[in-house]
Amino acid sequence: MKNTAVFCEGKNDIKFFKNILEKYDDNIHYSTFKGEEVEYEKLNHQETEYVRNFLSYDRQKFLIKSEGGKPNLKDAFAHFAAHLLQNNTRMIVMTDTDASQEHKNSLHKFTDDIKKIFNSRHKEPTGHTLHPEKNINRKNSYLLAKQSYILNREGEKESGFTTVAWRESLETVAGVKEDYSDAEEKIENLAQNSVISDFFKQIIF
Amino acid sequence: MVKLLDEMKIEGFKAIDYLNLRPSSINIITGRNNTGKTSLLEAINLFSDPSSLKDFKKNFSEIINRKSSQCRINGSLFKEKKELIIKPPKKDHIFQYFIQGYANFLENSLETSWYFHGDRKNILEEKESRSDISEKLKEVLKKHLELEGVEKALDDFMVISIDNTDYPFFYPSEKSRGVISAKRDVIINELKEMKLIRDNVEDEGRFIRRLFNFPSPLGGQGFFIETTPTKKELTFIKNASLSINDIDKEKNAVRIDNIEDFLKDKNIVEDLKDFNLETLVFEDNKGKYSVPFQFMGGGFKSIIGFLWKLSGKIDSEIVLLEEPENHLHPGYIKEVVSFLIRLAQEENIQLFITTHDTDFINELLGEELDEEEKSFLREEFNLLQLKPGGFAEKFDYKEAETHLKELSIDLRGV
Repeated sequence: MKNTAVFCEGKNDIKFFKNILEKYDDNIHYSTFKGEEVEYEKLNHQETEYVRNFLSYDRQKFLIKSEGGKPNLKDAFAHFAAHLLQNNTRMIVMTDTDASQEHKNSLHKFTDDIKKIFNSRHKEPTGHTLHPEKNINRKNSYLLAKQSYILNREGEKESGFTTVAWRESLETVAGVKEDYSDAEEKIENLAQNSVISDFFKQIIF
Repeated sequence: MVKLLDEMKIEGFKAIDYLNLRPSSINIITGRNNTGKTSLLEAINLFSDPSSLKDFKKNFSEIINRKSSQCRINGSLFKEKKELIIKPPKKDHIFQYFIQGYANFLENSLETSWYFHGDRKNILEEKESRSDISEKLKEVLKKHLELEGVEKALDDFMVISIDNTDYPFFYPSEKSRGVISAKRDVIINELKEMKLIRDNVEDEGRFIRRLFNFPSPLGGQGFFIETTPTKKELTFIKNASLSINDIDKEKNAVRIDNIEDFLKDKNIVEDLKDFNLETLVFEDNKGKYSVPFQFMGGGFKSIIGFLWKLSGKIDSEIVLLEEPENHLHPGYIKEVVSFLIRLAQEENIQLFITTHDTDFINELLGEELDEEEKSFLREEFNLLQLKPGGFAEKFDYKEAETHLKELSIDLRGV
């Protein structure tokens, strides 16, 4: 199995993904990083340190990291994608769709935003560009997924990644209370939903 | 501000497959080892001063990236568009290059008195001028060398083409020596017949060795066979070491005085009363005492080295700095950063700086800078992070701040 880096919006996404992994393989090695929980003064490049360590130790199969919201998620992924693809790492981005838009369009907008950020900082110096596919290639009643690719200056595919989006949000689908008091339990239950877990199983395993 | 190097595209140069730059006044270059940081500085240096090809010594032919047949650098330098191509010579030019290059080599060797000291008057005909000898040698070589043999020395040549004008470059190695040695006897006989070499010289063997063993060029560098391409002023600082014995202290009194002012103003060393490159005088509550400059620590000498090398810069110059943080204590980094910003701001010095140092980056993006410095950097700062696999990511000041402070991203790369 390829080593996999999962970029999420928040810590509930990390909880969910841990449950999915443990459902299928109790012994799997993974690490998590909750960017939103670390104070700036204590950050000290921790985000990069986690990615650096992940790339250094082959035994660690998964890195699951949350960025504290969509804008940071897009920025961080656009930065790390080029580093990760060098190690042939599989990359998954997990997000919620925007309730104000059709789910499909919301996912397209999300990947287009990553494209804009990636291209604005990579295209000029080396000609690398990010191209999201136009099609949703996997979907069920809870989730949508699509592929995107990073191309070199000659237009050749260097690598790809999968973006998975919840229709609405993880918390809504799981039925988590607004105060998140039952988040742990509800998210654990959600990971046992075979329609959902199968969707991720096909992407991951 | 006017950008001295306004744009630049590098293709096939050392570790760089392709890189397109739109530099600012202060350009920070980061990335892991072997991602092309030094290559980028060298490419800028070569673009500004093509004769720096000599600095690569015997590795000159390695500067063309393995995936490329030639290296191309183009851009706008001092408001002039320029294209520089480094390429292997055409095979049908090799014969001419070899003969001209070898004759030039000999002519230059004869000019160097120590090199032929003692031999020249004993061996060469006094009436022969260096250029005569060179011309005669060319005739002999043309007569006896064959194209097929000379082609064996193909790798000793490179051509720099600047805006379609070719400047052939020659680094005579073992291969060239082999070409000449193979024809040694016939060439010697011919030179004697031409009365170029005196009959019955005492130490003919020594002369012959020097002539035909074809030693590497002086200093291990190659040379341009015809004319040397012109250069634009640029300073490449690879280390901060300073050889104080070579400095004329009287001529540089003002420069030394300026460094003293800086040291006192920034309190680089406490209790400093008087500074010169021989002795530092300190004064504390117990009185005055002196310390020889040579007794000062490596970090202090490094900062003096930097100040020395940078304080002599004229307006509107490009300065390349390779890892200025080396040997510097973090306490000095802050002052170096302030100094560099001032240099860029007030003297229109365009800086390209490679670094692996978080302190250096943090100082540039930190809270310690005053508003004027920050305001300058918001307009005139650019950070380029070179990544493995030929990727690179550029950040303006705001983006760099966000990545460092909000996303906890190490701007030096993963």
